[in-house]
Amino acid sequence: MIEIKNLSFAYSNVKVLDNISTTFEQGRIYGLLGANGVGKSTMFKLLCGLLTSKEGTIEIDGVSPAGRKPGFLSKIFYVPEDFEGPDMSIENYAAGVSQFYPNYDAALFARLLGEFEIDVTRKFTSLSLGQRKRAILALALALRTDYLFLDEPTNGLDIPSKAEFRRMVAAAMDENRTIIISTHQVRDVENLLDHIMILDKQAVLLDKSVSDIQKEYLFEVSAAAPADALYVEPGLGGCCSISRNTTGEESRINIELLFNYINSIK
Amino acid sequence: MNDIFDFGRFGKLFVYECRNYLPRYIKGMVVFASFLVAAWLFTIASEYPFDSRTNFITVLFFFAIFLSPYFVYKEMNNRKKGYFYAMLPASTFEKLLSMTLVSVVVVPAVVYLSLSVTDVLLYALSCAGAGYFTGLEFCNPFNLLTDVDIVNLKWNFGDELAALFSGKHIVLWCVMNISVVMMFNSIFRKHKIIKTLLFNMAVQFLFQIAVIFFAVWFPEATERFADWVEHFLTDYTPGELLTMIDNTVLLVNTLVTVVALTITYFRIKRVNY
Repeated sequence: MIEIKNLSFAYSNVKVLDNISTTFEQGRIYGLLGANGVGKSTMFKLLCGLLTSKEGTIEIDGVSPAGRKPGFLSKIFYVPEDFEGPDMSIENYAAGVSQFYPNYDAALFARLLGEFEIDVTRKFTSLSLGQRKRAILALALALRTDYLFLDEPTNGLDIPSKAEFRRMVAAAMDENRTIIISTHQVRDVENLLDHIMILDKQAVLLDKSVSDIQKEYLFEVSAAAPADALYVEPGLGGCCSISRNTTGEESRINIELLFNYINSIK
Repeated sequence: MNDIFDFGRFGKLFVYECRNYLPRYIKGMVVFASFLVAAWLFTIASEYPFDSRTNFITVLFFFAIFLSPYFVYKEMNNRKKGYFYAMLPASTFEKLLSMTLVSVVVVPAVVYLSLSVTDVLLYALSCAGAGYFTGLEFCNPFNLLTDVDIVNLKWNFGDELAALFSGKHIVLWCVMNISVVMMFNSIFRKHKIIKTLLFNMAVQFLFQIAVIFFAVWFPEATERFADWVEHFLTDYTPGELLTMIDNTVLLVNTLVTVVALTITYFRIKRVNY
């Protein structure tokens, strides 16, 4: 489990995270949403120990990431948004790195690369952004770490690859893993998530499971906005609205609408 | 799991670094070897005997090994690429040890081998006498010093002083320089070589300025210090002075190495990305 308590972080004098507290449970796929600059990537770097904060604490299974201890590092993997990759071939990199991860599944890696149509003999530096992304996502899933942090994983992926990515993440999930996905492309991942966290500089605006959100809110598309709607946006089929769920009816979450609603009332 | 040192994990890391980082530098060695070939070709073209070939290879050898951490570990603190190194599940101590072994043992061995092979090939090609095989000679940088005869500057120590600058001194001097380069490589993120040179020039400049100001502001103290140095040099026999120089050089080199490696350790452990 990941426990964050009163976490604050600033780059020089620019405060990015301010007194954030939250937890990430095992066996869930979290969607970490937030406007540009609220600190989603910074949060990932803090979780991996790539940045250290002077205020607040982070503990992952009781260990502080800042120590960069090997036992801890072998439990996590981070795929950044602007992944460039080392100056070596995919197979050499994977062969070298995978030795340090006890749950690495070589057969899964080969299968994922095959499905992503990536040639393992090519160097990362010779691949396009989308190909690099697919290669590192395949490795990230095959390492089978307890915690996987994906920053904008679908950026640079073509349409078939996005569908493949969703399928792979769903297949790779088990009760011991925690996957946190930060994205602006919410439609690419909305069927994957079972917990949504909306982050702001000052606070966690929303931290609820998908089922709780469905119990609390009703998402509708109708010709006219319902009278009791909490938030309305014009859409292709009419008005997209969020209302209080008073009937217990389960609706499909429109994450983009939810995000805009939560940000409008902060 | 031992979070400080584990032989198995260290072995994996060392092999990983040798396999994945060294090939980049071996490509760089082609450039160094080409300098040697270029010099040889110049010798043939100009019919000028390449008498200083040993010195030329010595300079190339030490350039190559001293610059190696900048190239082999150039990405270690790069904001975009370096986090792979930071997140590799090995301890900071294992990473430092592996980096030191690669830089101090593996790279010099590879450089030595590539320059030797190039030299042998050139020797084989230069049947007309345009060159000669330098073999093992070039591994002593103090060949350069003895060639310009600076060992006879004050006392005619000759071979004794030359002998002082050999063996353990050469090894420690190399380790110290490589450690210092490793340290600067871990401190500077971009334009590492230029920043290192500028930093060293700035330190030397400030030191000289400080000495000048000291001499101007405290003339009596400066005079007393000069007297002390003069007495010091006359109070001891050349043999005693040599022993003192020997010990002082060893101590300074060791201290600088330890400080440089300690700073590198904490940079590996704490550098932000």
